[in-house]
Amino acid sequence: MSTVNSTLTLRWYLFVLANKTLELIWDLYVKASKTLTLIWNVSKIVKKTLVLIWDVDILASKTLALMWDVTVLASNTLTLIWTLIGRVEKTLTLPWNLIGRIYLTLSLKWNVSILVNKTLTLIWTVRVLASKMLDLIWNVRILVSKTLTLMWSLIGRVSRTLSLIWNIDRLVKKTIPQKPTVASIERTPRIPTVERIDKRGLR
Amino acid sequence: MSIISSDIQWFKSIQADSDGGTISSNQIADATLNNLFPDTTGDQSAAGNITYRKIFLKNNHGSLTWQSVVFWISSQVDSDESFSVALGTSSDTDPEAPSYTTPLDKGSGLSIGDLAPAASQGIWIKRTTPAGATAFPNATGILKAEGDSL
Repeated sequence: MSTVNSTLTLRWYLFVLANKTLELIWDLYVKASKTLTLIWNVSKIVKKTLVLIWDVDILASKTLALMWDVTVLASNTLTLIWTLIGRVEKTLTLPWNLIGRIYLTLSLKWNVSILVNKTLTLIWTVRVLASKMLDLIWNVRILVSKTLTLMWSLIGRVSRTLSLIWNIDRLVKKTIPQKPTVASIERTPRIPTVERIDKRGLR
Repeated sequence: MSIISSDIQWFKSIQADSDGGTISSNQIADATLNNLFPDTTGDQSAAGNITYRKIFLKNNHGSLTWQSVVFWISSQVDSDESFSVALGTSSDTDPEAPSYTTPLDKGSGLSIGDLAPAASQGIWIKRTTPAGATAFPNATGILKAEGDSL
């Protein structure tokens, strides 16, 4: 007995889908679409938020405008009050200025009185000084008078001394005759010479 | 003269695509592309698929009985797919009726018993393609039957 076997080999191809990439693209497309939808929804939310912000902004703007008007009104009111205060101040300033003028006038008069007082004091001082100067001049004059008197006395004495000397001299000259001197001869008149006559003729 | 390998023949079943019924006259060409199973399409590989086929093992010897015949899967499919087998009747058509096993050696093989001359035995083959199977050219699985002969 022998063993007999038989084999049967079966063959085929195993394929896979070649459109996986397309599915991937489709998945990507679906995801992108969902993402875009999400973005679109987010953008709508953002848009609504922006509209809300815009409305809030408008409301805030109007509120600010109202506050601005109120501020302007308050400012005008304050300006009016300030103007009134200014008027009152000017009204009060007038008597104040008047009082000031009176004060200045009184001060001026006081200063003038002080000036006059000082001037009088100065004049009095000058007068005292002049009096002392006159006293000094008087004393100087007396001194000079006494000096002149003294000098006169001295001159009198010198004169007397000289007179005495002169008299002594005359007495001596009368006592002792003197010879004529050359000078006395020269003082005598001389006869005109020819030469002198010629000089007169030439003139 | 003893039975030789050429006396043992594999035939398709009668129904279209060999998916059940009695034995046909169409012998299965060995080691030929799509000799029993069609190609697994992309959709099938993507989604997963099960394909049943019914074949017949016939003792075509003129006088000798092929004795103590055992059938098993000699070589499991070399792709992501797999074979499991079950014995059928001479004319059954419901592929899900039998209980399938995966005998990979003679010891665990399906016992057919004796096949008289010109007798045949129906065998169900279940090809399982898991979802997401990888592409594979010339996916090959080998079935083997062995018995004794005088």
